[in-house]
Amino acid sequence: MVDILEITVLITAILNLLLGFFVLFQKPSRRINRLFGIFGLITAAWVFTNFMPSIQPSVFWVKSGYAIGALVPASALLWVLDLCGKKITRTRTVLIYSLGFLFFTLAHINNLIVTDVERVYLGGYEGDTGPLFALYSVYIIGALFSVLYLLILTYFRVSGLKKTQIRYVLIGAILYIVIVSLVSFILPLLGGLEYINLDSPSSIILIIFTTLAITRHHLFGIRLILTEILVAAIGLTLLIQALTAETLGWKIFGFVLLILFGILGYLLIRATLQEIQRREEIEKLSEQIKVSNIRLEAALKALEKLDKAKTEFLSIASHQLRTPLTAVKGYLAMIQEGLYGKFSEDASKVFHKIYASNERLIELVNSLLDISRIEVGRMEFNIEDVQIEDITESIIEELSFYIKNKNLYIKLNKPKKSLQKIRADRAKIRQVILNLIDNAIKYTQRGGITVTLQDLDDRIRISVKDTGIGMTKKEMEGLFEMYSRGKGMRLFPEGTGLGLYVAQKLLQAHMGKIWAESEGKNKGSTFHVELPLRRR
Amino acid sequence: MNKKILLIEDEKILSEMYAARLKKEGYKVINSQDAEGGISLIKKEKPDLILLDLLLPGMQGQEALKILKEDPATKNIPIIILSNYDTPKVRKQSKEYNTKYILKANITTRDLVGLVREEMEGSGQG
Repeated sequence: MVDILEITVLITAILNLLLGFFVLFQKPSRRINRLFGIFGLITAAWVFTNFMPSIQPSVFWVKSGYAIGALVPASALLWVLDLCGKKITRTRTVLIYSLGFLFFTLAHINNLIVTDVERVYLGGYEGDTGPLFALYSVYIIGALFSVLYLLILTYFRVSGLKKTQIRYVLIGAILYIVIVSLVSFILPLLGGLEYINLDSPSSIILIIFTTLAITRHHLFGIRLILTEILVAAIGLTLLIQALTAETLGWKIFGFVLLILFGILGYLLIRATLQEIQRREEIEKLSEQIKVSNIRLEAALKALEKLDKAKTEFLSIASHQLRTPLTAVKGYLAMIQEGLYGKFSEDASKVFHKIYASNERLIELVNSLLDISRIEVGRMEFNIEDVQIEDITESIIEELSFYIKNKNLYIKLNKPKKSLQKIRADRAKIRQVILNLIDNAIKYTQRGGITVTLQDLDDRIRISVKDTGIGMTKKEMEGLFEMYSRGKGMRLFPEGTGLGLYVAQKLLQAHMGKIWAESEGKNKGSTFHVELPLRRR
Repeated sequence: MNKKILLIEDEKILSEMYAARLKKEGYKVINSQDAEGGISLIKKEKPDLILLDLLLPGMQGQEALKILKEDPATKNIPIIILSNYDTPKVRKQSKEYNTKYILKANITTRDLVGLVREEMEGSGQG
């Protein structure tokens, strides 16, 4: 007599068989589908041999159960290896299946593992164990633990889709093992023997979860399958109700209801499927974004490194350029000081010219380094309290040699009350003022320079006025641009064309400004600089 | 007695130039072409001031500055960083150790004499 448990076993065998075929034929070109398909079919055969003793209790079926049972872990191990990205070599396949077939043969053709059959529980048959039964158990448990170990290890190593796939297989495997342990070991220990034959049917759980994982398309398909089962169950109930209705009216009502439910069910399944597809797309997209972000981060790091390397290169290159210039400057200064004896006036003039040219080169190197730092945003400012009069006076003192040499005058107008201190980088503000006074000396042949300092309550103004060559309106255009000398002017014959550009950039960084005024050609120029007073 | 200056500078043309100018002012100048040699000379020569270049073969000037300023035996010797290598990082470090940082290309040998005098007087007062 076949009871309900045994029917469950048969249904499981059929379902395993169908799922095995489904995966196998869904994409036979994929190795994992083939390996898993084989696993499904072997499992189906195993469950089937578990069912057979109920209709034909013989030692043959029990032995077959153990024999095919030996192939289940072997086939499982192979596709799990593939899923976890391990190499499936011919040697590995042969070795694993050889072990499986060894136990298959041992179980089948002699009495080493099982010797006899006996009905042990309601609906269940077990064999009397043979001398190699313990070895057989070690093989089965060992193979199953290898599968679990491999899955857990890989789960923590991978990410994205692979992780989700392995999570599904792990859930299935763990549920399966828990159920088997519960019905085969824990419940029997507590005296509950009636569920023991649920062990082989519960393999369907593992099969369903792994099918979900492998067929990919239904990776998030648990909800879909539940929806389909629900719709099918309600549909079946409605059909039975319609068929068994007592009156024609109720029958018609039942069928109409069934048709309506059919439409609704179809729409429900379609909507669920669409939602799943959208989620899969989002998952895919977010994976792509993740990859792009990683690439972007790497690119940014490389760029930062390059930027740093460029700045470092410039610092070293400037150092190398400055070294010979320093030697020229130093020796010429010593000659001009008279440390190497007296030279004729003509020679002195030449030395002065060499010195001036050398100064221009030094200034050029300094400006280029400044510009490169400004451009890459690596200019650093050392902000402190700065007294503008002190800086201006020291610059005038420094340049007095050249002023006297050109027979020019220099006047400094400053308010009686000392100026308010500004918050600024002393060296950079000094560089700006020095540049303006130096320019004024260069472009003034007669007369002189007047420097005026004003406290305008919320800002300080520094004005450098000269009686030099002046500028036309056209010449004043683009005065603060890089290489403004290139604008068709004979302006700044001795300059680098970078000084005013750098000055403007430095002032902008201080929230200050610079501008120029001139009445025209030969009417002198005035350069104004304003720096804000920032209250602390 | 003549004041002693230790010049740590690897560029021969510059070390000769600075030495020549400083000797004219009556200073005794000892030159070392690298930082390691310079540091080992300090114990023997006990200089009154050190002129330190930054880009050197072997140990760099920044490291030498750290060693000299953190060693109780040498921390009171005034140091002037004299280099054409100019980075904000080094400027910051020199400020931390309260050390003058001079760009060689921006000063003449006469300016250097002025700076040395100023620094020695400063340390003499301190």
